[in-house]
Amino acid sequence: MEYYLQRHDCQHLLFSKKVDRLQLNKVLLSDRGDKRLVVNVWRNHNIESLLPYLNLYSQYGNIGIEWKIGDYDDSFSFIDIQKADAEILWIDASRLLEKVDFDEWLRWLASRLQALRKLSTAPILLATWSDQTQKNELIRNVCERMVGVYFADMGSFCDDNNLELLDKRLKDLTGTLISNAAQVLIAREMACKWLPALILPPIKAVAVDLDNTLHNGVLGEDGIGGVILTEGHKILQRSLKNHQSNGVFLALVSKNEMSDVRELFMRRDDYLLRLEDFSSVQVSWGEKSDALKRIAEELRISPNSILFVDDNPGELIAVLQSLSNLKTVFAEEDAELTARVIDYYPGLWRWKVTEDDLKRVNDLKANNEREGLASQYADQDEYLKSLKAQLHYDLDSEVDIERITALSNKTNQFNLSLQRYSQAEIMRKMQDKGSSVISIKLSDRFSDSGIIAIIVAKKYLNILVIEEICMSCRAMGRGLENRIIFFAINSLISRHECECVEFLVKEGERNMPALTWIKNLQGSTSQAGRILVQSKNVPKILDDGLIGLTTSWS
Amino acid sequence: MSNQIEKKVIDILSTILKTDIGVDSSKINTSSWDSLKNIEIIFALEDTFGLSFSIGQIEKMISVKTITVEIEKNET
Repeated sequence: MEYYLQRHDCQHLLFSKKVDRLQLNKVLLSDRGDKRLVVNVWRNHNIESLLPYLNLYSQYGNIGIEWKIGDYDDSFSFIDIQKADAEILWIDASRLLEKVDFDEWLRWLASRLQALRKLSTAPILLATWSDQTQKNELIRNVCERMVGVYFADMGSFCDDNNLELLDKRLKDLTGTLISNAAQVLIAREMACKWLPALILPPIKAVAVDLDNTLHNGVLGEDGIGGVILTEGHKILQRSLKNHQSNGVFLALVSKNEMSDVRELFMRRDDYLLRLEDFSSVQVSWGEKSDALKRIAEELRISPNSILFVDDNPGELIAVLQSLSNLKTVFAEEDAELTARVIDYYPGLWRWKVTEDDLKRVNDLKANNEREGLASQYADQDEYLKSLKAQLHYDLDSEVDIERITALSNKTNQFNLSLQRYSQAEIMRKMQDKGSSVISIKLSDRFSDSGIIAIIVAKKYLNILVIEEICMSCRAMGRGLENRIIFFAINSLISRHECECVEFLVKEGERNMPALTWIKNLQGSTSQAGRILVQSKNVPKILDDGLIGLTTSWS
Repeated sequence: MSNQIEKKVIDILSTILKTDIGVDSSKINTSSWDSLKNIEIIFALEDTFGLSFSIGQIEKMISVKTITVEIEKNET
């Protein structure tokens, strides 16, 4: 618990508007690093000056990073590359641009990124800058044309933060031109946003306390008119609303009377958040750890992917004793600081908000409506018919690669072999003639859930090997699981004329739903982690018309 | 004035080098004072005193005494 107290003590220094470099040197934070990661750094200028700060901010996020820093190398030849969780290209192009023009340098950059892509399937972060916005856009275009390559645009980042990126005095002193102020803030951005968004499971929900967190004061004592909404609290509420509009669930956890809370949100027009903005509301006098478990269940997510914000350190520690992998933030008296700490929490920021991210919050609301509908029907088929569900199957859909990869990495419960593919690995499978990546979209009368399942398969002789099946929790509970999967598998069996289907299976901490599903298939264990089923025994789905299910392929 | 600056310099050096620093400390007699730490010290001094040192000054700043002298020059 000492580690969590240290974190709460130092977060005002780490996340203040203007970070004081000297004060950061005084911060004591144990290297707990529950999550150990390896990051290769390919560079032609100094990154060592940023390392103490990269490590400090990573430690705040409970991540231990082993940095494998290559020699100074203007040619970026990636000699002796070893497996890593991420690759960073730390490039100062100024020296190279003295010899060649920008277009030629850009072509060279693209060739180096392609070379690295061939050597590594890990996500690649290109951290560099140019002297013009237009050139930055061209660099970004190069990255976006490649799979799993992201541009950390340090120039635009500094412009947005009114910082001077370069300090020419430093060239001979430190081996990098990056200025004092920019170094620390770039380290923070890298450790809290750019890198975690590539390598950590995302935070899916922010659960906030009410009193002295969303406002100043205690509702039960100060009354509805007595609790104070400071400018900082407005900023915090606006920031939470932004996260929600990016597909992050909001939940409310408060020890209060529900009637008071309901009235507060109804009567206080100055609150930017409405009670309906919270996908789960847990107001009671019970333990907050129990409330958070209920939130996880309601939102169909793991407690590990919830960030809990509370002003009471005792409450935070009590919750951690019951849910040790929960993420926590101490709500400061300065709510604007709290907003910044939340914004920087590793795993919350995303490189890109996909359409499927945006659908998540609405999908949950639709689920409640579905449950209401299900209770009206005694017959399961009648209920399914009333849903008017539509399934759409895509084969090797490169345009959906981000969502497909995200599903492989985010899905914990219905995940048959826990492969956790990178974008580059999925792309290789899509381009391999013997392999198939099927993505399945689901919509019904209540919502369009987007891609809710993926199946990755490969043909070996006359065997169809199902390397992975992942299905989002959002698709489960409609009684469609078997139809979703078997329709795809039967299509692959016909396409490849396979006699047997072999499923790769790996037991994990939370993938019991997938393990139960495969157990019901009654195949035989061919070897450890492999279950073999004769193609003729794979259930056929013939009655889609009866339940009004529309199925299509592209 | 000089004493106040010297005291602040010693505080900053102790924080960054994470060792006891005295008025006679220098790069030569302090093992943790390497080139990486040296630039960290310069950044901290610039932030604390609101100054910007020239390269010529930075090259001279290799001990508590020389640092104090260069800061005093800038302040006057």
